[in-house]
Amino acid sequence: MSARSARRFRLTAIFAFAAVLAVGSAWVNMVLKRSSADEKAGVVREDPDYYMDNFRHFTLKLTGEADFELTGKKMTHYPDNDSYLINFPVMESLDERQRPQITYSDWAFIEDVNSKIHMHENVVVIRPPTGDTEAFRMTTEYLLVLPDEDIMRTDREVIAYQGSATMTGIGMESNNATRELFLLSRAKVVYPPANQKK
Amino acid sequence: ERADRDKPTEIEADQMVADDVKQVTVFTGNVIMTQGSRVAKAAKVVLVQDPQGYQYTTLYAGPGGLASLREKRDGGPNLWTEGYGERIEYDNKTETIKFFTHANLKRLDGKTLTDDIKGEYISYDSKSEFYRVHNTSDGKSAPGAGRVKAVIEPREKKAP
Repeated sequence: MSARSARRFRLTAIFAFAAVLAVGSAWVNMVLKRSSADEKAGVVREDPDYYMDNFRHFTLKLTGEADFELTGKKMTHYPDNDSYLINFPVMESLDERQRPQITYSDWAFIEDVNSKIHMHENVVVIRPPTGDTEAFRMTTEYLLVLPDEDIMRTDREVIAYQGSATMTGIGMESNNATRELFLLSRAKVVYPPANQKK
Repeated sequence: ERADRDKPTEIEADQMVADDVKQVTVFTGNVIMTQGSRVAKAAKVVLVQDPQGYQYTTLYAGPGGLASLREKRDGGPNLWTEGYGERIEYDNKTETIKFFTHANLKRLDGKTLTDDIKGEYISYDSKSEFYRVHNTSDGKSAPGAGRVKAVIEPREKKAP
């Protein structure tokens, strides 16, 4: 092999080695970068990522009309399951075609893209009297509110006052659209004597 | 008895549904309705309340059974009226009670049966304690529609 071709061979070898080195380091760099990005994406924070104090939140219907207003002392957001924890929530229905209703409790947990509102401790539901219906007030320790379906449900004891009648039971479902109230077990209603109706 | 009308009405049941639109409340499953001395039992009770608070209650018996209603009568320490029927309608404004189908009205002095009336329809006015019985369950008497039976014990003559 003549000296010239030997030199050419040596140069080619050096050049090939340099190219392999460059490609290899680029590949290693890419792998490192991707794994750190993956790591960042894989780990979703379980701690809250934001909160609001004394908030006021309006939900609108598809038609743009106001559906209900939610206020509270504090709303904390948890990104891992996109849920909210609310202190002293107050929910007020704003749909004029429905009976006005105010629901409040000590705290609430909202999940499933705001379709489930779990209200806990000292839950109170109030419906002011309207033209054809008497005042309504109900208390319980837990209430699941499904705003999209206008339904409230609990498996706990409820005590309700409708006008001058008193109702108690274990387990309740109320449909504000059909305006029906179900007591699911051990239902008891006490009506005052007619002549003593308030 | 008259004092019952000033007492609250209490209804217990396995389940209840109140319909705000129709202003009707339906109780189902082991329903017990009490108002003072009056106690009624049925499988299902439908209650409609008017704006003045008077109730129009219909009690339905379960399959093969009879709804029942028992209440004290004025005029003595232990006088009772018991009524049975597949359906009982009670109007607490007029205080009339109607028993339909296999209707039976008993009047008792303590445990002693004094009157025992059977028919397809008995209407009882609990204010005047006056009752009427017919042989068809729509409240009219029709020839050949069945027998009405009344056994009325002689009353002891009050000493002059």
